[in-house]
Amino acid sequence: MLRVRTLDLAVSAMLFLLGFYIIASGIGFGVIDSGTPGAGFFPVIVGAGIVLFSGINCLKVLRQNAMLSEIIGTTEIMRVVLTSIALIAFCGLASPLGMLVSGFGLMVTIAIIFGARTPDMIGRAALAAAVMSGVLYLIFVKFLAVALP
Amino acid sequence: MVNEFKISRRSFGAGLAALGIAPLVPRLARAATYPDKNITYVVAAGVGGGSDILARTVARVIEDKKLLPVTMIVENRPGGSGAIGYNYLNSHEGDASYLGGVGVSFFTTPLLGKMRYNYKSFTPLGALARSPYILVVNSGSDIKSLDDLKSASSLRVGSVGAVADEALLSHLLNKEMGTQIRVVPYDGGGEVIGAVLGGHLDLMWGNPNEMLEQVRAGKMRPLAVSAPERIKELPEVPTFPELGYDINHTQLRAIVMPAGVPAEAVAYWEGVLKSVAESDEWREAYLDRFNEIPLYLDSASLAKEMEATSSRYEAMMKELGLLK
Amino acid sequence: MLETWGLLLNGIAAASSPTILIAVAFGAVVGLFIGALPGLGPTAGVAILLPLVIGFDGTAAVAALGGVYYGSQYGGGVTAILLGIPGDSAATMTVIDGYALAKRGEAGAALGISIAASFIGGLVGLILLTTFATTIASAAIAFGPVEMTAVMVFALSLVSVLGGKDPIKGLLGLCLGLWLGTVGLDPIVGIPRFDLGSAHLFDGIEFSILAVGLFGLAEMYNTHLGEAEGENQIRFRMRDLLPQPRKIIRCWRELGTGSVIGFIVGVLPGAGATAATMITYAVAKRMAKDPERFGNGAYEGVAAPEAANNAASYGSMIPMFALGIPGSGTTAVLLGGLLMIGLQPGPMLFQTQPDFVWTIFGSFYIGNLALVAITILLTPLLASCAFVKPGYLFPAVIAIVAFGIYSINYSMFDVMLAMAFGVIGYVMMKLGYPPVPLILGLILGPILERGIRRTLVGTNGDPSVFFQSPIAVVLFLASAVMLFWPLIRKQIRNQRARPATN
Repeated sequence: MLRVRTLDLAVSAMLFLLGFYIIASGIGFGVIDSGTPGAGFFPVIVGAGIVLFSGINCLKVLRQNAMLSEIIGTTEIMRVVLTSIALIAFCGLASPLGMLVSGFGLMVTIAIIFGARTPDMIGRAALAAAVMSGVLYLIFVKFLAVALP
Repeated sequence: MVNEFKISRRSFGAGLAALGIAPLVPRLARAATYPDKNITYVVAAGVGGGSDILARTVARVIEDKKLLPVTMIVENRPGGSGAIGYNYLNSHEGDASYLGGVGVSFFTTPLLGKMRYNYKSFTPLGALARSPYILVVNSGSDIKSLDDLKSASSLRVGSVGAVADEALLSHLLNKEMGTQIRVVPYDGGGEVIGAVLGGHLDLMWGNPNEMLEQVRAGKMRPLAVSAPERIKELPEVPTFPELGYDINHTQLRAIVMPAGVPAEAVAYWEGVLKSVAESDEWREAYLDRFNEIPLYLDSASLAKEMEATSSRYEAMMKELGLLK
Repeated sequence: MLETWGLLLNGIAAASSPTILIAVAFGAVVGLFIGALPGLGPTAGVAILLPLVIGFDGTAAVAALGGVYYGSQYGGGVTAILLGIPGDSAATMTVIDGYALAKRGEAGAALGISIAASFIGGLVGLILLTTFATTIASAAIAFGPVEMTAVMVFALSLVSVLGGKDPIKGLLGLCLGLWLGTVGLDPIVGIPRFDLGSAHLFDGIEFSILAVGLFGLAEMYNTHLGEAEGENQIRFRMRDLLPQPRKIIRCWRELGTGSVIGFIVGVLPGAGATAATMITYAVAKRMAKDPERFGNGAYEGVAAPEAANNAASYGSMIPMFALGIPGSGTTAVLLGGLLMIGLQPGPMLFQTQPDFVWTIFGSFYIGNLALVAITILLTPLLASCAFVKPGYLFPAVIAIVAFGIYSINYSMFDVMLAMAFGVIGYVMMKLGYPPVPLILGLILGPILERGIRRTLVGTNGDPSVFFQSPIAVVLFLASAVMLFWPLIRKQIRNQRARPATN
């Protein structure tokens, strides 16, 4: 469970800091380079914009505390986190297991995350994933000749 | 229909074989002798670019002349200004079934970033051709000869990327002639040609292949060539050295292998590349077609060239403030 | 002019030979398919097919490659509408209204508009390409860094309408997009910027990876599973699977402006089809009487960008045919193809190889007609995808996305990047950050930065040149008018209202 207001505030604060980081890096790249705008010229302007607008947004959220009392459910957050972990695992396992095997695992995992809970549904999802792996093999290996790990 | 064809951006040789165009290369039964595996030519750039065309032409000549008992596969690994491709090649240390072409990014990208490789991490095999640069202006320009550059003020020259041969040559030009030409980097050779045609740039450097059509169409005027000898198709255009300027920089079309490959493999490829460089097929399909200068360098002379080239880039990048 | 049409008719006749017809059909179908795969766009499509088709004879090879190019523009829209994932980067703007329509159950109608818009945009682009290529090419080279800066300023002034409800969050998104556009090797001095110490980011952030994450993955995370299933069962009607001509005709204005603006932006150096779709979408929203509908499933919001990206693909061929220089990433690969086939592209191509050029143009006309037929026949089948249960659809889609993105550069890093943008997109969606300003910043920012810095490097830092180019001055004035348009309109209304009250 997460209140949208808390998230908004946290994101704005992070962006505020990011803005300063961008400005600092921009100064490091060189704002003016022999009389013309250097590599840091754009980043400094953009970073300043991020600092300014995220600052304004922070203040706005702090003032109107009643507005964004919406809540994001735990299930939904878990879904995002688990899908991301599944994708990271897919990338990591692609070279030891092979991308097609790893992709099969990814599909079954995501089917479970998105609602397949009973053994029967998981079985059907696994079947669909197996068929899809075949399709992916045809498309990417046979047709596009991509060298999959 | 789709399934019948083996479409491949990476495996040109295999694609041709599947199409039934190329004769099937006989596999020799002597498994112990090199080469016993298919050879992969890694191109650290996308399909259709200069280094890709070079790779595919080399592969075609080798296949036509049956110089290899195995198949040569061209594999494109673009991205990261060459870093992705050269990293990939470098990761096959000691494996003589991988080779790759040498481009500008081969030298400059490792100088810029903290790469796991630099030009010393590869085994030079040989060079097959080299390509000079022609300095040109828009044909409507007031600049008629190299001497007009000295009197003209506030000139702009195009370059493909910040760290590139065009930038290097322009810095040499400023040093040699005392001019104050400013280098404006663009993202591609076509953009630079367009900017010269539109009058947004005053000068540009281009390979003969890029420039000849523009010169023949009367859109551009050549001023000088960055090599000791004149170009066959443009016999009236002088070279920088003959005008007394020490501007001699050409692009080498060279081939390398990962580090730590056996000496027999190097000797084997020196032989193969020499036959390619001296073949009529190579002359027709590459040298004449792209107006490049014939050349063959063996492994040892290429190693020397690579060292000299890298130090030229390093010197320029130091002057530009990119390196400490 | 008459002569041109004669040449073109001969070209169409020559392109009707069986070999070329097969090549065109082959290229168009492959293009449609590659365009529909998320992450892979026309550049990848042409690159994938190039090594194969050089086995064909020269004209057939280029006809097939051309087919891949415009076929993928048709295909990109399909994925955008059905799955909310841009099939290629030029289809990103199509997601906004197209996917909203599909969610409403009108996938068939949206696909129909996308096909019609692709055809009309393609036809307008083709007619302009065949009739005025040389004239347009000489006009296009008048656009140097100064003029491109002005074009981008104008584009950014237009897109101020695309902000969404919260202007602060819109601006914040724009700044973030502009920042992401600076990642990679600096285009002017060459030092790496924000590369996280990795060479993977040296060439910048691949737009299609960001778009796939920000739109596709984020949208999936945000789906309310229970609701979506219930809704789908109610809304499934046969009629919704078919294109609807009446709705297409209603968008005639957007189709026209989209085609023309898309074509013009496509010709400009370094702008590209994606920028063209953004500008036309903004223009369509500006011109609309009720702009609020845009973003919530407006037919016009599909018509404008789809017409634009197809017209732009022909626009970008103008520099290639008339000047021998590539006008976009895809035409650069096409040019490489011409070289491999043994043709020398250059400013004399129209004179030295007229048969080749006109046969190719003829094949483009034929290819477009073929694509309309193919896509209309496929529409009901494709539209039914929108009604597949998320439990089955999502795993398959995520797998295709992962494989597709991997194949762009053979890089798992890119897959991770898409995942990260998926999470970022989800958070943005929850907090009401509009995604459009961010992608605008990423596409338009680099062009603007290059324009400004190239200009100033050329003049040694003197900015006065920006006001010496008539084209630029006109565009700057137009930008000012656009920015203050809401105020100006208010004034005009007040003036009109005053006599009435008096």
